[in-house]
Formats: sequence, C-alpha cells, structure tokens
Amino acid sequence: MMSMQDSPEIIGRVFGTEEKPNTAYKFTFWSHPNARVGIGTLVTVTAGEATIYGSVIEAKSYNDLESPLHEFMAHQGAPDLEPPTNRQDIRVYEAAVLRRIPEEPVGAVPFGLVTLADEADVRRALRTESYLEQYGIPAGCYGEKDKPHAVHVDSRFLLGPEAGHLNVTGTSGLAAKTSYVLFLLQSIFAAYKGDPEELGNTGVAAFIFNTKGGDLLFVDQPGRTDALTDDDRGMYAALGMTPGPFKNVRFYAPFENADDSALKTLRNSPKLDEVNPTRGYRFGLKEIVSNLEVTLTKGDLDSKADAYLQSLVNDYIEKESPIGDKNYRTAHAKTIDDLLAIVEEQIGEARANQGSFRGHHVFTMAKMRNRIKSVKDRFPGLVAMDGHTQGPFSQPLEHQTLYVIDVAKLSLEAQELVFAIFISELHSRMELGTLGVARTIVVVDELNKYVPSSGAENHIARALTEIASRGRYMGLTLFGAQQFRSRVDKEVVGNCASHAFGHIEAEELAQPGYSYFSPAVKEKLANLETGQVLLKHPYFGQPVFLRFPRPDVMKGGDGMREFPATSVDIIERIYGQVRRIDSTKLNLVKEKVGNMPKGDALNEVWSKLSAMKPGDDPMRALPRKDGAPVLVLGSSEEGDPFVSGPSMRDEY
Amino acid sequence: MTANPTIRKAFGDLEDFKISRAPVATEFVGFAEQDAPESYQPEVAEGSKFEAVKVSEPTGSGITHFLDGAQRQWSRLTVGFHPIVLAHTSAAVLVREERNLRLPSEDAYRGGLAAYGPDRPAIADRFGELGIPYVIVQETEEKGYNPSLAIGKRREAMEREIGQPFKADCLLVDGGIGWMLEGANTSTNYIGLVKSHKHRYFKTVEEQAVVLGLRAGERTRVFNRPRSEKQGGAAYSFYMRLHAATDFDPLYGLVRIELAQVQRSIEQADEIAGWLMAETAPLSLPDPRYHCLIYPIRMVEQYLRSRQPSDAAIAGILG
Repeated sequence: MMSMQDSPEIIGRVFGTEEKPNTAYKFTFWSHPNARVGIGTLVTVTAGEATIYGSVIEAKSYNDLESPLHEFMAHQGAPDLEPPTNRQDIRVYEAAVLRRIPEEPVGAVPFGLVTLADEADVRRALRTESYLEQYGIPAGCYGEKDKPHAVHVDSRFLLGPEAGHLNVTGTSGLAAKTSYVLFLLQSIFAAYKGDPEELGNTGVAAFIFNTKGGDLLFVDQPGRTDALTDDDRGMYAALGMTPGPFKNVRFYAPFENADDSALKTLRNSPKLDEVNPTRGYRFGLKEIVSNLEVTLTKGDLDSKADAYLQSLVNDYIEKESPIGDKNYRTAHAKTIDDLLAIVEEQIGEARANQGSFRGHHVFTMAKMRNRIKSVKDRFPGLVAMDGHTQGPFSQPLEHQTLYVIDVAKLSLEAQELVFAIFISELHSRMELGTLGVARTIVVVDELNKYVPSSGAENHIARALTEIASRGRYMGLTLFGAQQFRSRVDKEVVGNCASHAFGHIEAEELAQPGYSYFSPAVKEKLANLETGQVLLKHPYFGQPVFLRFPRPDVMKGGDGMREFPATSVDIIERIYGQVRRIDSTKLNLVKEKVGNMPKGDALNEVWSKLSAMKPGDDPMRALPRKDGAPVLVLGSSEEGDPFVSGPSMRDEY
Repeated sequence: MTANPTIRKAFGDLEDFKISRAPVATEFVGFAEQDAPESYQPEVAEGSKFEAVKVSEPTGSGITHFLDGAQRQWSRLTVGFHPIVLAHTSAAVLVREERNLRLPSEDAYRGGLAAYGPDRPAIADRFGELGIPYVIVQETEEKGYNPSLAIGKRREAMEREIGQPFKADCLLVDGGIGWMLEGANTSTNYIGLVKSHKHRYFKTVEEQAVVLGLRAGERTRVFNRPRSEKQGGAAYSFYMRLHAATDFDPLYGLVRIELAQVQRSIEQADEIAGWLMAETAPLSLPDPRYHCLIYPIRMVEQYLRSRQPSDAAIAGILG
C-alpha cells in the first residue's frame, strides 16, 4: 500500500478539443505510452481543489500518418525497414465519470493531471467507504493481479431492502456465471452482518438448483489442492476471505419412486452420507395441483380448466367441502387418490345434470381428471402418496446455509414442476414472512426461459415477477442468470439493482439493451476471460470490471470420481445419518430399525432423520406408540405397521 | 472576479489605434523574404571536378539532435498607417533516443509572444504593462516598414541562442548554418539542411546540369559556400537529391547541405549524405514539402506549433 509520502504516478493529462470537448460525465486524456491503462482502468483527475474519478471506456492510439500509402512509400515496400525515427504516436483514452469531489457543481471535467487510482481512490470513486463497515459485501477485486483491491457492494442494495436482486449475464460455459454466483454467496455468508435497524428474523440463506450433472453437488467439499492459483489466493486475501468449501450446505434430491427411499441424484455415496447426507424431497397434493399448469400444454390449459383446478384447490385441498350439489358428503383431499375420487363423483353428477357441474363442463372436468391421474405416472418420485410434503421447508431456513436442490436427473417437465413449486413456496413464505431468515436468496438460471421478454402468463413468471418487484421488502432476493439478457422480461431485469456481465457473444451485445456500453467495453465483454465480470451497482457511477477468485469447491466431475454414486441401502443411510447426529444412539437405533421391512414406515424414519442436524435426538425419528418408540415387525396389506409394545430397555 | 487586461482596454483611449476584425492586408505587414534569387559561382573543395557522386547505401543515421524555428503572427492592430503585429517566435532542439524524439530539457526551447510596431514609446509602454514585449520595427529606405522581417530575425536569434551552445553529438539544423557557425563554441557538429534554393550556386549550364541531374541517392562534390551578409559565415556545402524527381520539377527532393568549413567535413560528406538518405523514412507527408523535409524536422515544427498560442488565446488578449 502506498504510504502517505508517496505521490501517485502521473500517467497522463486531460485534454479537450473544440470538436470533442469534455463534458460533465465524460472526458478524454492522453497518457504515457507505457502507462498501464486499459478498458476498465480507474483513473483520478486532479485539478486544483477538484478530484474526478473515471473509468476508462475507450482506448485509441494513432500517429501522424495520413494514408497507409505514405508508410508503404517510406518503407519502399519493405516491412522490415526500420527508419531512424519512429512516427510520433499517441494513446488517447475516453473515461466516464464515476464520481467528483466536491459533488457540486457538476461542471465539465477540468484539464487536470491523470493518475492511476489506488486502493483509497477506488473506495472513494465507488463510494464504498460510506457503507463498507456495516453493509460491505466483497464483490470482486480491482487492480493489478499482484496488487488486487477488494471492491464491496452494499448489502442493502444487493439483498434489500433499499434495492435488491442481481442479474448475471454470460455465455453458457464461458462466462462462469455459476462460479461468480457461488463466490458471491460465499462472500455474502462470510460478510453479511444484517441491518441493525431491521426487526424480526436475522441471517441469510440461499437456494440454488443443480440442473446439470454434479455441478453443484459437492460444494461442501474442498476443491483440488492445485485448483487455486496464486492470483486466486491473493484475491481471497485482499477480500478478507478464507478459501474453502461452503460450510453449511443441505442437499435435496427427488426420490426415485413414490414408494422408494432411494434418491435420484449423483450425490449418493455412503462416505458423503456420513458427513452431509442428501435428503429427499417430494410434494404433497396442494403443491402438485397448484402448480399443475406448468406441466400442461397450452391446449390443455384454458381458462375453463384453470377455473376447475382452482376450485379443487380452494374447496378440497385447502379445506373440507361438500363433494357435490346432490351429494352432501364432505371431503378434504390429502392425496391424489382422494382428489381423483372427488373428481369422479363430480363428473358423475355433471353427467346427470346435462353435462355441467357448478358451471364446469364435464369434458373439462374429465380432461383435468386425466391430467391429475397422469401426474402419478409422469412424476413418480415427486408425488407424496401420503400427501405429506418433504423437503427443505419442513424446518425454518438457517443462517449461512446453502440449499442445493438437485433436479439434474429429472425430465425437463419434472424440473419445471419442481422449480415452480419451490418458487411458489418461497413466494408464499415471503408473503407470510415465514422464511425463517431475514434474507433468502434464490438463484434462478436460464431466467429467459421462465420470464421471457415475449411475455409469459404462468405461475412461475408471475411469482418471479412478484419476487423481483416486491421481494426485497420481504426478504426474498432473486439472483437471476441467463445467456441472453435481451430475452428476459424487462420488468424482472429492471428491478435488479445489481448486474454482472461475463463473456457475452457479439450477437447478444448488438441488442439495444447494451447501447449503454461504449464500443470498447462491448468488445471487452465479447472477449472477457473467465473470472472477470463487469459489475453495475447502484453505488457505482459507472460499471466496473472486476476479477473474482474461483470458488474453492469440488467440481462436479471430481466429486463424482471421488464419491461415486452407489445405490445406498436405506438402512445404511439411516445409520450414517445417526452417526452424524449422535453416534452414541447408533446401537439403540440399530436395535429398533434393524429388522424393519422396507416400506413407508422405514421411509418415514429416514424422512425425519434427514431433517435433523447434529445434536438432535435421532430416537425422535422412530415410530412411536403412546409416545414411546416401538419395534416395527411388518406391515398390513394397507401399509399400516405391525408394532410391538414399548421397549423396556430404554427411557423412551 | 476581475477579467484579464486586454489590448482593447489598454489602448481604448488612443485615437489612431485600431483593432481590426479581420487580418490587416499583407502588403501592410510586408513579406519575410522579398529578395530575388541570387546566383553564385563557388569553388569546388572536394577533388578537382564538380560532378555527381553516388552516396553510399545508408545503414543508419548518426544525427542525434534536430533544430528548427517557427513563427506565427496575427496582424489585427494598426496605429495610424502602421500595422502592429503580434507574433509568436520559437525555436527548439529535439533529441532522438531509441528512435523517439523528445525535448531534452526546457533549455532546449525558446519561445515567446511579442508585439512588432513603429517607434511609439506610449504604445511600447502599454504593451509592457500587459507583459508583452514590444519590438520596434525600424523603417529603412531599402526595406521600408516590414514587421515580418523583424519577426524572422527574432526567430533566427532564438535558433542561434539554443544552437550555438550546442556541443555534443550531431545537430541537424533546418536551413543554413552560417550564422550558427559565427560565435559557436564548436563547429564540426552542425549539419545544415537547406530546402529552398533562393541562393543558387554554379552559373554554367554544365554545372547546373550536374545539380539538377542528380538522381535520388546522389550528391555533388563539396564546394565552398563563402561568407555573405545574408547567410553568415562561410561553410562547405553540397547538393543532394533525397527523392527521385521523375515526373516532378527539377527541384523536387533537391536539398543543399552545409557543413562546417573544416577538412573533416569533406571526409565525412559521403557518410552524412548517407545519413540523410536514411532520414527519408518516415515520409513527412502530409506536409507538401515532404520531398525535402525530413521527418524529425517536421516533428520539431509540430512541437513548436503545439506551444504556439491558439487563435482563441490571441482573441482573448486582443479583447
């Protein structure tokens, strides 16, 4: 760091011509040919009492050559001829004003001396000094590779409530969108201090969906020892962060089948189960039916069908109501089978009533019956036959915890259903204020698919739009990512206060939404290396190019090699989880469940255990009768367990 | 805040003092060079015959420094029938290091604005109050009232001022070196490159044919250019052609080189001519004199222009 006695090296001087004068927001300067200035470099202009900070957005060089023909003539056509004198050349840069001190008057940039911004200058230029202490979240590094400076964003403007949401754009596979989001999540978990003035829940948690292979399934494991470069380590040090995997991660994967405890995931290893088991998720009737529209084609989902579905949710899933107008028996559907029975009865009543039931046509009802019936077959592992939802929402969300929802092995249709249900649930809990932490981040990739610019009138689009517009007040923050920003709904993008841009293809950069950037900035974006982003944040007068260290987490490929997926027996899964929660109870648990037959009862044990954390009492997950654990000896044809009486050997 | 004093304010009470909105007619101000071309018959100093010689293939240039002067004038003021000319004159030496030119120190530059007008003490005093030196233009029978000549002399004086103390390496001067040699500490390091041919040497048709028939990369034998009132001290000289004159007028690419009048100059003539051939790249285009203006001298001119006041600055001074 520069000492107080050091004066910054003067690298150039501001100039303006009558044809191209400086303005209040842009200025030009020339620099020494060897000055380390490039697109995105932050510079300081000093002129009298005024200091102006700028970000270089255009770079040009030229000499006094009027025509290339003259050069050809001078060299007599010999390119290797070195004349005794070099032509006079010049490096000219255009910079956009980040900040001026004093702030008023906002006059044209004076003709001052130009220096490279040092760490203190960068803080002043980006106004980070005003929020660094309480609200600063490291968002990347600026500066030379051997002298990185941390750049912070304001948590109130990233996570709310002042502003919120982040949108990340970049070419798939090149831009490291996921890497940047993971880095930022780690940074948030490490640095978020909350708002002392905010009441209620505290802490921050995040949801992320694993959509491809094992990409995000091993983020609780350290990366390869040689994965981090010295530059990465230097950046971590500058950012005040310790490289390492996520400390608190909960992995959730869908079940293979409705009656199976096996999980459909590549994170399926006994070794991992002992340290951090993958938990299952499946959905109850209400979640499935409320989001059924996601799985329906446009031909299926007309306003009539939607009205009938909604009536089923309102009358029989939310509450108990009379089944028909002639059948006064009431019903409260808890499973799909319950609901199908109700629909069958209503169809019967419609047929008897000239094809109509409460205004719903029998054909519409029959179509919806068939669609509901098909759900069991189309999404076998996602539907809870007993009607009980399992998943991350069975407990309040925890501070500094990353919830990874694995959907990689699901069909595209099933992925959309899972995504819709989670978004709806987050949205609903956001409305109710029951998320459990002050701030919840939901990471949504391929945003252009869910909220396209062409408009989408569906449940997910409505929920995401609602989250984008109101989420920041209610603790829900959207980290959206996409390859084509121009194809995302303007309202959703517009509500994002912070924007990160990685490598972007030229075709996308040609869209009108990028006209804000200078041609040189666009060129740089089109050639941006992995590990760099252009970050736009409300506190920054102009977007700034930042570098970020690669997250020190195990990559999917490495994870799958080190922890190959195997079909883990549910009994072994239960024992592994008990070892993690309270190993002293392992023998007791073995005694209780060792001979239990595979089926619902054992699945129930696993379901409860998987929701527990170290320190909890694993015996609470066992089947109970009269408040005490019992031995399960088998099950009836209906699936009810045969149980023994309370064990006399323990205090339960 | 008080506005800077201007000539309009300082001279507003003088009845015969006017500030014109447009430049005063040139004939009022005079021409810098009014002399008709003059011819001389010099003696050959290298060998016994005046002839063309092929210059050795250039391998580089030993010239390290370059000197030129510049002047710019604004003729907007009159007092009575006499124009008063504001002129900026300057001179500089640029050094070439690692193929790049730069001003070695501020001592290598002279420059300043001055007013050139008739002998009127009241006017001189008021210019003095404005911080602008006032140069009295002497009216003579031969030249009449000619501020341009006075401006040129001031510029030449500046060139001598920074050129004469020059000691090391090799200095190329734009123009003759006669005045430079007189009073210089050392003389052998100067090379004068004369682009104009107002002074013509050799009167016979055969000799002129040798000069005008030079091909690119050829020079004449060295001859003795005698001392004169106009050109200063005596010097050795030779003609050479920098660029082929095919399809151009016979003076295209033709320059006359002046060297100190010492034996070493004759010995070095071929080498120096080779240096100058090397200096033909880069071309000095778009300057129309590019065929005889070498690039470093053009750069000195550009440098001097960059330090001249702009029209807007002069308008501010005029008020």
